[in-house]
Amino acid sequence: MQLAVLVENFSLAFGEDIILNDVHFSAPSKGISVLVGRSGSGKTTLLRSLNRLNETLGQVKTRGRVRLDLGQGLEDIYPQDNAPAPRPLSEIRRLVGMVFQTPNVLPLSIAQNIALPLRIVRKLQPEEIKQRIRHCLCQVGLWEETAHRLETSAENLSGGQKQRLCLARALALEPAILLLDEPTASLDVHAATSIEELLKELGERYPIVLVSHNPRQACRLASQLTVMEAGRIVNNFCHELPDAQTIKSLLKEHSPSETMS
Amino acid sequence: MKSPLPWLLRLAPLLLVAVCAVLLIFLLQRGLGTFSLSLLFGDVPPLQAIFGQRPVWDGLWPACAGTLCLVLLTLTLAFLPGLGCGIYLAEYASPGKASFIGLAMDILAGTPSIVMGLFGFTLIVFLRQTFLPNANTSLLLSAGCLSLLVLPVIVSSSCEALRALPRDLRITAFALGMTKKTVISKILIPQASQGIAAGLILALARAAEDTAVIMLTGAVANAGLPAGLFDKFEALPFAIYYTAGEYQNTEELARGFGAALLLLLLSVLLVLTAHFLERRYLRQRQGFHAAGRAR
Repeated sequence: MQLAVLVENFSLAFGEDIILNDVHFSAPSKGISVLVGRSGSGKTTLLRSLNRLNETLGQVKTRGRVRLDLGQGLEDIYPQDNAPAPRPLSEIRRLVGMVFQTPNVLPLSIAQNIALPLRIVRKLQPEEIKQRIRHCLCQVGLWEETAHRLETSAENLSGGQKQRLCLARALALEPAILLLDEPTASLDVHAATSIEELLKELGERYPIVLVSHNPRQACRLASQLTVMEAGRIVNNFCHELPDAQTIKSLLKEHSPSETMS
Repeated sequence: MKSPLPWLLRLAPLLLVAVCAVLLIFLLQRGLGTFSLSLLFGDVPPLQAIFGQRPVWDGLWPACAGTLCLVLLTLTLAFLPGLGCGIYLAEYASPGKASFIGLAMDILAGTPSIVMGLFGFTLIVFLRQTFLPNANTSLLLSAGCLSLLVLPVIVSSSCEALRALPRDLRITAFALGMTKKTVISKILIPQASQGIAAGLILALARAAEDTAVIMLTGAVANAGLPAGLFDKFEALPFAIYYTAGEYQNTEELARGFGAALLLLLLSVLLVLTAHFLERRYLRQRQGFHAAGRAR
């Protein structure tokens, strides 16, 4: 199986707080790898380790290796002794698209949300940007709804539409890997279902690592399932995935006081 | 017994409006009568006066032009250093450095304007005795001292505007692969522009009204239109101060009130222009529905 993500002996601490403790994790180059765990188990931190976004949040210490396939086979993204320096941070983050729990559209027009990163990060020409806006909005099924109002503020969109726009924005940068941090947590059932459909489609083309707090969603989407607890990985299912009930009990087992929805 | 607090709270804004109204009515009553072209231009035809073809001796036009130049020059001098310092404080400085710089800013902000004027005056005396024997009090010196005076306002407003931005915005921008430099210049500063503009407007108003600095650093009663950076100039607040001190008859006093009203109008005009530019900028940037809600 070809790997897109390989994390080995990886530990991470914010100051003195150890958040990830000797984590081993891998994700295949196709399909959705789902991370589940109760809050505080370190799943979001693990996700953010894959594009080194933790480093924007404060003083971070890391140990171990994280290797990603960013188009040229697996390569280290953290500096290692006796090895060439990894790609610049901005390039890593550009190649690892991320979508967050709350749709974080930039306070700009719909078109500018996609155009601004393309212009700044990829330095594309206006003509090409225009084409890509259309292409990516079509990809996430938002073109029909927004084609006539691309110049209006993105903040007027509904929650589901915003999250699609965020996905489109990430896709426009041509990522090698997609990271999704509870992408449907802030959406209503209807919007969540359609985003899930979209993710299944995208999972056939991109390696996706998705954090979920919802066992049923995890079952619906996962091609691989990883359970986290207290900064460690406690279960990993690659072939025979458990059903929602089992996931629920797994989560309870590790955290008796916590009830999962 | 019911607490009197809600009533007191309601009284406070009333007091504010009342004071403002009394001030305006008083100014209008005393100054409006003098409002005419001759208040501005004396007996010189307006167009010739505006373009400086004929000097104006007994009108306020040179003072208006002087104040306008002074304000614009002050903001030009103070804007970039102020914004730069604000960005450094909000984005780069460690807490220790930030509090040290904050202390320096507080001291600068607490400096009385007369002290700043004295500083400018002493500076010129020093320069005359050492490197520049021909240096003299001038428009540039006044603007320089005024920009020191308004610098803390611009620094703290831009710093606060940047700090107030949601953390998500930064994280989003970083996650899209932007470098720290582009995150600041393309995302954070445009987003904080309203706060930064508010600071500029405050600085503008402060620079327009200050008298103590300019009377020691270059403003005079009769200089005509501002001729250059190194020349003396007239300014409205100084004209008011001068008239109030030296008036010979009620007519001259009334002209002083006219000048006060004029200064008020000029400030309002500058502030409205600033608001207009800000609105246009936001509309262009955020897409047209957001701009309406922004205020």
